Amino acid sequence: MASVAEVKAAIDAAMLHVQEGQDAVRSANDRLGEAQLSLATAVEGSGHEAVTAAQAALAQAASELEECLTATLHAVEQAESYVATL
Amino acid sequence: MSLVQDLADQLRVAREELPLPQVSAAAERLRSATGLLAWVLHHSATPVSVPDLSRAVERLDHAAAALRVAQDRLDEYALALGMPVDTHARHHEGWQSAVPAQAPRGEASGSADCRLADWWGERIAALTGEEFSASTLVGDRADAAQSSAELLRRCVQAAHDGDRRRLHRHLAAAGPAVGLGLAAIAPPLLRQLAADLVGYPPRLEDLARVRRAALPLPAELLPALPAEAAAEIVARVCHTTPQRTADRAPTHPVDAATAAALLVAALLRANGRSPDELNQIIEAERAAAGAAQQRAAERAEAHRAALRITDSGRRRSAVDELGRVTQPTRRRSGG
Repeated sequence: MASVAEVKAAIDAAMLHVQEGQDAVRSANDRLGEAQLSLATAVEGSGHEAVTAAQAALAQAASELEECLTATLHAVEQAESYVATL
Repeated sequence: MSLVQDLADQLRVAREELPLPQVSAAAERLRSATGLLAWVLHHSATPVSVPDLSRAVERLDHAAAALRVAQDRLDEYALALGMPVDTHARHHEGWQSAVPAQAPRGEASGSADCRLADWWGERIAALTGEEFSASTLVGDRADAAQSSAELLRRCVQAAHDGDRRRLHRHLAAAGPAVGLGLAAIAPPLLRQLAADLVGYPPRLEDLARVRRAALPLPAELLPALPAEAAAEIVARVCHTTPQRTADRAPTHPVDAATAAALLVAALLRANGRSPDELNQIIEAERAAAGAAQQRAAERAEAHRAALRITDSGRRRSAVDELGRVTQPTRRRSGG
């Protein structure tokens, strides 16, 4: 059976990965914002269906990243509460 | 440069700025964390309280899919402008290089990450009797199996060759996220292989025969692997309850994953099949699972159809329908 110290160490390590994941998500979000800006500048005035679809997909991606970040923050809170009970 | 060329260039820049590598890196980190939390879950007295990352991983998958859709639409637009799109090169350029490098495990002594590597790698080393070496591990990680199915294939090959060292390197390099998945993907294959062995889905009466065919290989190849780990899996395959004394600790998750892979190798050999046939068996198992799902969906649909007879809304619709049918008749008789 795992000791409390082992479980805590595993959760600490997991949360370290989660924090790195959060950093990557934030970095992705920043880069996505730049890509949206570049695209908006490039295709200004275009009514092409593919352009509209691309912009909608990017907005969707931004929204998903935001929700992912929220979910990871919730997981970190859960982890803190769980460790406090050990 | 023409205006169209200039626009195509700007599109290319926007496309290259899409953060797929970062999303991929985030997904990799969350997968590693999920592997660890699975272990915690296994040892937890209150599994409900253990953090859950499934929603975050799902959102990342959706984000990656949306980014790929955006790439495809930008390619479509570039083609509409008459600019060629080198999709193959674009899909791969910078993908691997842009992924932030994972910190080598086992080097930063005292860090939490080191404890993670130690936990997985040391248990594998204890089971295989091989030496745990952080430097070898870093080298092996470059060629590590990226999925549990691939890891299973490599482990089965190593087990058939009787190569304990190769088995150790494959398992240690794969890490907990991929390695723990062995315990999840192996049981359906074991059931199928056991059915091939006895000629029908294995039952309690077949337990002794399946044990005779499956248990010697794990015991012979990895003497340090607790015998209960493999015995429990075989018992479940034959739909019996594993015998367990109250004072015995639960099976270590690494033991269960390793035993599952070796049992697949053992039953493959018992059926006279080679490791190369594993992919074929996995495909057959998936097809069978898909067909079973389809049959279940059809049964559920049939049940729903039967239930509709007693549904009050359905009865009202039938009455309305009846009214519509009888109305013209009344008009005709009135006229």
